[in-house]
Amino acid sequence: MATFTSDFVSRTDGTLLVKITGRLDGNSAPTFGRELAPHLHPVPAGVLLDVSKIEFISSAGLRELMTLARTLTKHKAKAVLIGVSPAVNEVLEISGMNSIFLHAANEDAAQRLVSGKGGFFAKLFAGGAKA
Amino acid sequence: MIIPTEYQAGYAKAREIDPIVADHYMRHTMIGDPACDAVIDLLNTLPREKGYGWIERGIEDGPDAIPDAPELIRDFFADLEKPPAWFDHEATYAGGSAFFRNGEMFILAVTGAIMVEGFSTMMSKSFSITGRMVDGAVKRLQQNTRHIIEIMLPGGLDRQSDGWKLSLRTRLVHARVRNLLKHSDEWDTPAWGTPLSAAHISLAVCAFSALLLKRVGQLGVHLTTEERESFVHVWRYSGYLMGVQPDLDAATEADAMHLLAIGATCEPPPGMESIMLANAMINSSPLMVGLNEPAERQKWARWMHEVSRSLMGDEFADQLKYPPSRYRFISILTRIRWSNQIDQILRTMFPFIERKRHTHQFRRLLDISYYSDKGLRYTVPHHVHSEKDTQNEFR
Repeated sequence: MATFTSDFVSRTDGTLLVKITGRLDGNSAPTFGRELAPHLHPVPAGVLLDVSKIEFISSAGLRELMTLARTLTKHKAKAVLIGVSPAVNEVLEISGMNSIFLHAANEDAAQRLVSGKGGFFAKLFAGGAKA
Repeated sequence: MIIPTEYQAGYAKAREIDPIVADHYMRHTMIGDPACDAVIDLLNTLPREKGYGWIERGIEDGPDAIPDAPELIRDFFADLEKPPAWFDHEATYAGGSAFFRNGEMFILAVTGAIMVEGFSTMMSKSFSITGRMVDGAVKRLQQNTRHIIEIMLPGGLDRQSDGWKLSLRTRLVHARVRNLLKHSDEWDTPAWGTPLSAAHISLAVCAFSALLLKRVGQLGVHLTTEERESFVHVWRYSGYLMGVQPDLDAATEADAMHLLAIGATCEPPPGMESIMLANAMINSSPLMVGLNEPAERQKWARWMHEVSRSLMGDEFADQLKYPPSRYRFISILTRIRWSNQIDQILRTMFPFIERKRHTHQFRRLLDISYYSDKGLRYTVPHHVHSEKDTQNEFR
């Protein structure tokens, strides 16, 4: 079982890149929430959340993602999930959480979505026009 | 076979319906959870920090993570590492999907009926003596919601997942409470059987699976056969992890409903404890949904009493001393069903409503479920009475 890790990079364009690995579950989600909180003051222009190395998300993990989405929505900022695996997508789909995040296949595509460049086709080819 | 005195009249009636299942049920009123009870007995002889440290690591990482633990504890975890042959991982998705699409109605049925009906058995004695339901009714409702969410998520019952761990933690908490009650002067085994008996654990699992499906049906939520079978399948595996004994393992919805019918016949009519617990749960439900103003709470509790009465029937509601119904012409269930039907039509016509509603349902579930910023923990009591339990974190 992979240990949960998180890494936060504030980018020059005002967005925040968050890379998380392992299992975002009842044990790791509270830590993730605590580590993420300081990076949301002030609220970044957008959050690129790389979940490509996430193996599983439990309801505690979804709760943290929901809190993040709420905070960003309040400030008209966007959150993009990068590299959603089939297993994680299944959890997002069944919980209805897919509709509150944009999806992208990689960091560049996520960047385009956050900056609002490109219309419907850009979203489509970014990896899924979920929003 | 020893028949606890309080059960004798009901058992005689149940035997007339199905003597085999009635015998199984009665035998299990005198049994707890032999494997888990033995672990708790052993833990009682060890320094607390050491013993519960093994349990914590065993839940997280299995028997290989606790090479220094006694064989009994390692064997307990080893037996659970692999799911039973009948468990089909692929068969779990449909039930979860149906649950999350209709989360609010499922939780309404859990709060208004399942919890009340589940505790209207001799099980209420355990919670009444310990005070754990009345003192912590809100927390208990929130913990149950969390448990259901976790087991219903895809992969939620995989070995490393929270649904798996919560099921096992619940089993350990039950075993610990059973152990405390068995050694308490307040428990009357010849009259009441074993506290939190194997019969009651099975009955509770059947209530949360098959009976819950029936109750959400009354609220106008209709599931496909695949979804129903899947929902029962998920609960069956969670029940297995919670220590349901093989003779009372209900494999299908029909089996579970039959066991519930026989169990309910064996059980004595609801007593003072059941009345107290049922009303404590209904009156706590406004707090669970975040209503704190006295007027709002009162209004919500009145509404919940109505829903609960309509779901369970007037006879049972009267036994639980519910206030009389105020709806004379159109019952509250009819109103809820109409509302759900209109909702269903709108969702079919406008898919964006369905997407919004789906997310909203899940958000509501998260809002009313129990979380601790200390991670995945459940209370393992130190003292039989909850008010005397000061150090009640698991670790």
